[in-house]
This record gives sequence, C-alpha cells and structure tokens, in this order.
Amino acid sequence: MNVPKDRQITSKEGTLRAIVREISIPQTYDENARGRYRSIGEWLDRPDSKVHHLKPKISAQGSFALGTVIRPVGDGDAYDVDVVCELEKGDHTRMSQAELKSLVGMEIKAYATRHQMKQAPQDGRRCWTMEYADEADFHMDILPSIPGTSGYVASLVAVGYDLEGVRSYTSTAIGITDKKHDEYHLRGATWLVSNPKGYLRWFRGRQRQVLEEKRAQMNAAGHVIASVEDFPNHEVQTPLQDAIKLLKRHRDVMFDGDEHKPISIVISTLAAASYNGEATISETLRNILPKMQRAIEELGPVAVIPNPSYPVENFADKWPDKPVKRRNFERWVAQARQDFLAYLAGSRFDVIPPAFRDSMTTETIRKVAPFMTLTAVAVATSAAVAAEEVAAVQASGTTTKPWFPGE
Amino acid sequence: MNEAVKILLREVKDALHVDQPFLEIAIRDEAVVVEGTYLLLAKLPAYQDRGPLAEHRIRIEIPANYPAIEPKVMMQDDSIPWRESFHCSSRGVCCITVFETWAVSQNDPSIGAFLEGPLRNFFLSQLLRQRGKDWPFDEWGHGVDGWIDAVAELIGCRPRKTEIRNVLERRRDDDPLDMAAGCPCGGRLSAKDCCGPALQDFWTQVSAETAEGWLRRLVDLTPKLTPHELQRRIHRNRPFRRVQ
Repeated sequence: MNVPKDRQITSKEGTLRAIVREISIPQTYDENARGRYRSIGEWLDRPDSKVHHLKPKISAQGSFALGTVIRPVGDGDAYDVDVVCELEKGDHTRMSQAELKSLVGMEIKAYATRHQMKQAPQDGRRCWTMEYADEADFHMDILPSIPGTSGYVASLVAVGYDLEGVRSYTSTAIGITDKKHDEYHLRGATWLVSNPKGYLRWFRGRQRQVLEEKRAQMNAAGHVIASVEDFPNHEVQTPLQDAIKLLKRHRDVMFDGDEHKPISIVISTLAAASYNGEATISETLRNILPKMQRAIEELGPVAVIPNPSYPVENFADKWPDKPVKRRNFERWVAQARQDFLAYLAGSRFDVIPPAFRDSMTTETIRKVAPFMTLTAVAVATSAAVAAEEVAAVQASGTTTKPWFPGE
Repeated sequence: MNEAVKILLREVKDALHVDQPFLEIAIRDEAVVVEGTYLLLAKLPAYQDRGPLAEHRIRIEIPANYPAIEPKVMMQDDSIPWRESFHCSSRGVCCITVFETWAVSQNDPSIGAFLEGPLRNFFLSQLLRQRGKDWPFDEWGHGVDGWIDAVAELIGCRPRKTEIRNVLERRRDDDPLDMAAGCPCGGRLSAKDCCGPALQDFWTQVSAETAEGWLRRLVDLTPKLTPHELQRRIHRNRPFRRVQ
C-alpha cells in the first residue's frame, strides 16, 4: 500500500498520535456538543427567562472542559457532556437548593419543549440530564449552581486548611444542589461546594510550559491568546491530554462495563500531578505511569487523593466503603504501565505487542497499522546500533569492564 | 519491613519502572529481588523507535545494605554462554565488574546508576562479544589478578599484591597519609615520590572499614594452596635454606 508521505507513521510517537486521533471525539461532534450547551446558555439568559435576572452562565466541566473526551468503546454507548449552570447573582440565603434546581429545571423543560426534544429532561440527584439523539448520541448533565466562595472558605477553615495554598481558586468555587443533602429544602443552609473552574485552572497550570510555547506560536501567527487559561481545547492538544485519552481508553477496555472501574477524575488528577512538561506523548507516558503507580502504592490505609482546587474533597472517598475500587485502580495502573511500556520500550515501532493492541482495541490498531512505514533506523542491526551505543558510553566516561572472580 | 529495604525497593522501582515492563520487583528475605526479562535498550534518540537490542531473562538480588554489598546477577536463560570467557560462571552468575572499586569511585553509586552503568555495559559488551568482536570496554583479568589490577588502578600504584595489601593495611589502621614518610605501598621512596599523590583521593574514598573488607576479599580471592604446593613455593623462594 502506497501511503502518502504526510500520513506515514515512522515512529512510536507517530503511532500514539494516530491512536489518539482514532479514539478522540470527532471535531464535528465536539462542535455539536458545544453548540448545544451554548444554545441552552442563550435560552437561560433570554430576557423573559425566569433566571435571567440571576445572570446564568453555562460552562463545560469534566473531560469536555479538560479536552480529554474519548469515543465510547461500544458503538451503542453515548458521550457524556457535563456542564455547569451558574447563576452568578444567586444567593444561598435567599433560595434553597431545591428552589434553584426547580427554577433551572423549569427553563430546561421549556427549552426541551421549544426544541421538540423527544425525551423530557430527567431530574437527577444533582443535575438535569438531557438526552440528545442526533448524529452522535450524548447525554448532557446540567449542574445548577450559585457562587460558593463563602462555603468554600468556611469548609477549608473548618478542617484547619491553610487558605494561602488555594487563594487563586477561591473566587471560582460554586455551591451545588444535591437531593441527598440534609438541608436541601432550607434557605440559608450550607451547600455542597465544588470548583470545576478552579480544577481546570490547575490542570492548565500543570501544562503551562507546553501551552506557553503554543501561545507564543499562535500569537506570532496573529491569533492572540491572552493567557494559557484562555486556550480553547479544540485549538491545542497537549501531550498530557493525549496521554490521558490513551489511559482512559485502556481503562475502558480493561473494565468493560464494570461500575468499579477507576474514575476519570482520579486518572486525570494523578497524571497531571505527575506531568513535568514532557514534549511528547511517549515521554509523558513513561514519566507519569511509574509515578502514578508509586503514588497509589504510597497511599495510606485510608486513601486520600485531594482535589487540587478544593483540598477537602477526596476523589478516593468511596474507596473505604468499596475496597474493590482501590484494588481495581492498583491493578489497572500496573497493567497500563506494563502494556504501554511493552510497546514503548519492548517493541519496534511497527510491531504492536498483543497486550497493547488489545488494550487499545484491535479495531483501532487496524486503522492505524496500514500507515506504518519502515525506516532504515528501525531495521538497523543490533550490532551496528550497539557499536554506536558503546561509543556513546565511552564518550560519557562511564565505561566498566567485566571481571571473573573464579568459580 | 526493614526501612532500608523499603527505600531500596523504591529506588529500584524508580530505576526500572520507566522502561523495563517485564521485570518483577519484590522483597524476599530482606533483599530486593528483580526477576524477568531485561531489555537492553538503545539510549541514543535516533534508535529509540527500533526496539530492544537484546533480551535476557535474569534475576538480580540486591541486598538491603547495598552498595556495601554488591548485587548478584544471575542468568535465567542461555542468551549468553555460561562460560568463564563470557564472564558468566557455570552456575549462570554474571560477573558484571569489580563492584567495590566501581562503587567507591562513583559520585552516585545508587542502584539506578548500577543498573544504567555496569549492568547495561555488561550486556552491551556481551552483544558485541557474541558477534566475535573484542570486549568493547576491555575486561579485567580473571580471578585475583583482575581484582588487584582494578584496585591498583583506583589506588594509582603498581598492580602487585604485596603493595596493594600494604596500602590496604595502612588504610585499615587509619594511618595518616604523610607525604614525607615512607610510601604506604612499602616502597623505598617517600610517599611524595612514590604512590602518595595518587593515594590522596583513595584515602578519602575508602574508609578504614572498607579497607578491612577489601583485605578479607583479597584473602578470599587468593587461591588456597595445598600443603604440598605450599612446601614447593617456600622452597622455591628460599632455595639455599633447608626446609624444616
């Protein structure tokens, strides 16, 4: 098969990039989903909306905000799009969580009716869920919220946390609705706190070095990006985001349908915390996987994986009640390290080891494999390469001689 | 679990988890044991997409008091010949290098440095040797002679057993290195005009306890003579005396 030069894969990095392209959400689906939630935002903010005076703002959270969405493994599975609806003028002393949920719900139901959606919005524990069944099936979970700075500060102070370390995240905290909250119907009560914008800022901050370089390139090309926080995800894809997509695909295949599979937020948090600005996906995986494994191994009997933007929130809070979740995470990260390294260290770039192929799905690899094109370097003999490696060792002054002490 | 073993375990994992997917790392009998397939990898960026240069099934036993005691590397397959001429004993024990002189001459004698340095150099050398080339980094002579050569290179004196022993005994006894006095090697010149300048580093690199350990090693490595061989040797050295 003659492969056009610009599509040829001649390195492991090229293979990883091609796999990421295959498992990523198609651009049209991404734009479609963003268009849908912007449309809801405009609906909520129209002049005769019941929440117009409370200044509603819609923004993405979760993997859509982080730029780590991947296609579901099964054809019939739907995408999840998580969005936050923050009423900027909302005040917990004047409304209860139930009132906020109901207020936003009325508008969302009206939106569904106006747009002749087949299914009415579902009232979930924390969110309103809308089902879209067009080109791509996706659920949109809309989380009603109000500014939550005071609750955020109070909850951190209550456990004696030093606020200095989270000062930059304070202003983005929100209070969210939760039907299981004891004071769900009570005005003036304390609300559950979340901080998706703060998390996004932390996540972007972990990639600052790579994003600053991209920003400089884009600014030079006349496309002005004020700061790394302003980067639209679809305009730049970093090695960390790509590595997380690969890890999530590995997780999805390993735990097909298992409700106790490792959750995405723990994967993203540990991966981003381990990331050191590596410039390629392969370097990123080689760096973060051992560190993630070590981080999990070194957790105490009660695992705590704090939300970097809201440290009292423990992403592993369900592990004590369901030890299988912890065991699954430990099993998964060890397996992922082995499967990725089996390819990155143990194979020539055009030879996909069975374990790695299976973890990315055979279907995905089948689409990538035809573009692999052998290079002279890849087929160089071991002896020829070893001679060059020996010269490098000699140049570095780290030679050592073998010895035989006797039997 | 012993704290030293825990720290060692972490260091071994840090060193191997980055690019050795097929090695299992565990603690057994207060030592860290590494077992499985070792990949000899190219480090030059141009060859990183090529895949491993060679694969060897090995077992490494790293004692808790590393680097005071050297790790034991054993072959678990026949990917290199189990022969003296390939620096591998008939029981499959790999003779990586003269470990003690390597360890004291390193700024970083960590287990990571050992795995990246002597261990990798050993298998890199084996790859070329098996294709009929010379040992690319040379080799030490076998047995006690090679050990003496290695220590002499470190000390900077002549590779003679008596001189090495003299130096080690002086170091063991914590004798100060006086450049104006007789040389610790036992030569007739002053230390300044003999091995003294080269010995200055050695006096800081090697502690009295280490010197004592090396003296024991020298005795262990020296072939034991039968009574008959001993008689003959005494007679050879003193031809004009009657042996009582």
